Amino acid sequence: MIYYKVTLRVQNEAGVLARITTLLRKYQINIQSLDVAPIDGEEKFSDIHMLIQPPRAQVEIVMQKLQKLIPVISVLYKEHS
Amino acid sequence: MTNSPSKLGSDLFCEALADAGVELMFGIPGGVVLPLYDKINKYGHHIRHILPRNEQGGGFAADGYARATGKTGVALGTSGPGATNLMTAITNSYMDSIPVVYITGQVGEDFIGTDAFQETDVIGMSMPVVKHSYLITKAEDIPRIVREAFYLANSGRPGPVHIDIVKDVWFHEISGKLDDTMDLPGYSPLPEVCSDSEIEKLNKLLEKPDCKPVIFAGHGIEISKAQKELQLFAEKHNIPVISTLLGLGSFPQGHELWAGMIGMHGDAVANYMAQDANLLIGIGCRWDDRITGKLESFIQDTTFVHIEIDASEINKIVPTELPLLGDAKEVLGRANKILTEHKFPEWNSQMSELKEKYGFLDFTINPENDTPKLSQARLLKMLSDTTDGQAIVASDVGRHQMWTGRFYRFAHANSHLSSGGLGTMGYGMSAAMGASLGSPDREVWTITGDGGFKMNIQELGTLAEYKIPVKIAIMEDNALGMVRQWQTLLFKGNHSHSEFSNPDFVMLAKSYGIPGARAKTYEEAQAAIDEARNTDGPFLIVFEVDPDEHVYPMVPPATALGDQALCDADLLKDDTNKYNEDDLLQGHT
Repeated sequence: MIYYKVTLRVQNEAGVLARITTLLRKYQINIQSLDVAPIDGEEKFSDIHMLIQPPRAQVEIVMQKLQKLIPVISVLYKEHS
Repeated sequence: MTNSPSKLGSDLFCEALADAGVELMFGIPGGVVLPLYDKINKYGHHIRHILPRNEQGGGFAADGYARATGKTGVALGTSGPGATNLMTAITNSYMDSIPVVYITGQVGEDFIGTDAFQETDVIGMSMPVVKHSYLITKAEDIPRIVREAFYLANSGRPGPVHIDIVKDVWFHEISGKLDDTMDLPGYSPLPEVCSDSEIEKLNKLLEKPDCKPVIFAGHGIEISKAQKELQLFAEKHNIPVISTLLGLGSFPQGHELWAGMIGMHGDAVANYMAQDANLLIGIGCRWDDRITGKLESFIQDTTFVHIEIDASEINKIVPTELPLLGDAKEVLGRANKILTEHKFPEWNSQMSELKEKYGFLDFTINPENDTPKLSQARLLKMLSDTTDGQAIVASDVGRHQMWTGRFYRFAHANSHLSSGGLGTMGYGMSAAMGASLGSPDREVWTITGDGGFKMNIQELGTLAEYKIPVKIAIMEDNALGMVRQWQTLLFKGNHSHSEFSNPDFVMLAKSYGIPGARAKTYEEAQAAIDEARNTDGPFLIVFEVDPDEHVYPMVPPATALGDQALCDADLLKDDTNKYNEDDLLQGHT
């Protein structure tokens, strides 16, 4: 299965990661690596970098569902070799 | 919002609800929300508070209120069991995209994480089934969060929003002006909207030789109030219209282009039309498994167009050639201006032939007195004729739900209340209660089975106390009828745990002060319906119905729509059984 590198810009508040992982768990997606940090100079937003292995057929749907989460500002993803 | 001199969090919260336009709420007090309840009557001139008998009933009532009025419903429960009792209602609203703000109390901030009395992580519990959720820990956040919650619930694709409030907040004293500016940088109700040139591509699809198009009207038509635009669209291109269960009310059912409700227990004509079509134009729908039947057959040789507000629904189930993102009313309105007219005379006559062949809309209605017990299909037709389709009808879940969708001719939008996605037994009477309070000038019925009715039977107390004029029609077959039907047809008649005894519901209603009647014949049924309509306040009717009347058509699990069973013989007789037994038992139920 192919890895995807996902970058999420989110509002920096308690529970955001739970919303994201709740969604990934629903789709049975395992997280290979995870990094969360506030973006430079702003406490208001954080960037989350993840390496995940979603089934290829579900990638777009899962990314759309992540984008729908209210505290998620943007979703970027690409195949990771 | 200005608030000086100082105010308590409990006052601020009531003011925020009033500012959000709340006129009605359902809630049950308990420990951590008592400070709020100490204040709530002060705001009674803005907000009418109704005390349901179980939080679940209150949640369904708020959901029913939202469906009938288009406004945002409000339901409240205390921490712990009050909140967990709301979870089924929250999920119900989520599955059907219903705008409800669910409010729960939480233990004091210092007690969070200590497993305190009635402490539950309800935000964690509701997370997968809400559009968004908030935990309020500071009174100064109340105006912004309440405003955001109501905005989120009833914009874009609607849905439930959950607010959990720690007990301390009620006592916080706040003075000075509070900022209620919404801060939602990650939210747009219409994130993407299709262009005119994308809409124009529909012309090419409709101009293909041998094009057999069908419009597939979902709940989104009703949500975006796009009924007129849909009718114009269908008439301009002469395209037959079928709808989902929640899409009923989106298109006039007497219209010559109307081809019925699709689905596992949909109209035979609609199912055959969907199977034969090679261009399906879905509008505000999500291609639920209950309407596609066997997916491989559903998508085979079919081109899909999907007009949809939620981008995450595109390509979720069906491969979509032409996604048209946006609000249904706006996209259809533009399409009606941009697109050229089309005609499909052969395809339209095929629909007429199917209607002729399958007794369109009256399919399966039993002839008179052919069984000793009453036919639910006939009773639904009787109710529809008697009320001239003018009523709001909230159904529960099961066989009667399918017959309500099939045989009640809804004359108005926002009148068919049904738990579609979650299929929640116990929904009907509570939803009708909310609808009646929200639309006091409308006649409101609930059609329920004897199984589902008992799941929230306690709300008889609420109906009686507030004199809410809901007319209750109980289809009594002493069974979980739909379960029993499946057991009869798919599990060789092994009626495992699907049959039960009942109390005398008429006597029970009487003990609440609600008049009632029992009907064993069609004459008694008609008389009871007439009496119910002529009685002020609630009224309960028990119809003694046939447990062996099966809902047909039936698209068995893992079966294509076109292979729908039309009668018992299709499923029970060995020589005519066209279904694979393993598929029936193991296919997605």
